[in-house]
Amino acid sequence: MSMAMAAEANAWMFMQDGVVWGLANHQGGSRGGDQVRVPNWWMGMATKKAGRSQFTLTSMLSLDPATVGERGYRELFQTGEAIDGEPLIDRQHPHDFFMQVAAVWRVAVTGRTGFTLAGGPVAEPALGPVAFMHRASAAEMPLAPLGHHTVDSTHIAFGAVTAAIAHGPIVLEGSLFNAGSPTNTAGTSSGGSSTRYPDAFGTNRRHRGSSRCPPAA
Amino acid sequence: MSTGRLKSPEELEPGNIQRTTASASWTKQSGADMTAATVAYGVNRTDLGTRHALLAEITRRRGAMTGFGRFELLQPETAALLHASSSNHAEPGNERPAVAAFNPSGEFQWSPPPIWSRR
Repeated sequence: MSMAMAAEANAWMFMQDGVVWGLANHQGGSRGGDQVRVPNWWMGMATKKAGRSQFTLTSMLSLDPATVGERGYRELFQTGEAIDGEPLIDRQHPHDFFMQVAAVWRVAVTGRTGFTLAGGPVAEPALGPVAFMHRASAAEMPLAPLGHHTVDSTHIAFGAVTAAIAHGPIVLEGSLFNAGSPTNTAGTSSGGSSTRYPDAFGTNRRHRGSSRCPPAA
Repeated sequence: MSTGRLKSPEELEPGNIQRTTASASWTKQSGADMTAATVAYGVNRTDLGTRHALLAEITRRRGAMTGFGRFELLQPETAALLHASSSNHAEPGNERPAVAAFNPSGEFQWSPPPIWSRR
């Protein structure tokens, strides 16, 4: 893992973070098996302040389709998504090559109140907690949570726009997004909307590379 | 907290999902050391039924050593899991078993110097 930053006053600040796992995976029992896979991702962020505004571009790429395979890695009890018309059972789907391509525009209305508009062709809508690969509490965990498709699976939405108002630690945000599964390329058009009221503990105060809206203070 | 209406999100499963989640995260950072914890709950409501999932996870980093663990309690997609084992012909939806999983782990981490930085 490496992280690099460069900053000058009122200039573009760049930040990157990359992870490559060497995953020797043993899932026991008759439904399990052994495998070696290399899950990975890279996040890049560029941000610039101008007056009361802050403009941020975020990107997240993964070579999982090549290094993990289209059927993902073994994880007993995991379900969700499909490949070639067959459901993925006891497997965690791989990340898409484009996990995030999004822009965030944030303007400070007052010292404690801010307005955020975020979105892009591949973005994270305001539904569920910040996804597991962006959460500091899951930073080193190699496997996806079994509850991924009940809690935080919408983090790769192919088309999302989010508006948010933050006052102190409180953020109220809503999203419109394409709810189709990332591997669902059959072209079923779908949409979703959500409203999110993050807690005062700052659910997304520390997250890496996410386009989710941070609290104002 | 959040709720969202997902219109036909699954390729093989018709129908919409109403997903509602609640979560809380806590992070304490001091230099390179860090402690972070998250508790999250989510429920998917569909025409076929309701499934709940709860997770609690913590990561604690001290220098090059990191310890982490995740506990989960959830209702898996039983019908899909049973479909995978052809010997079992249980009707989907009749059973609502729960799965509990706990994964404590630790690691030693080596961080290379930054690949690039511009100043």
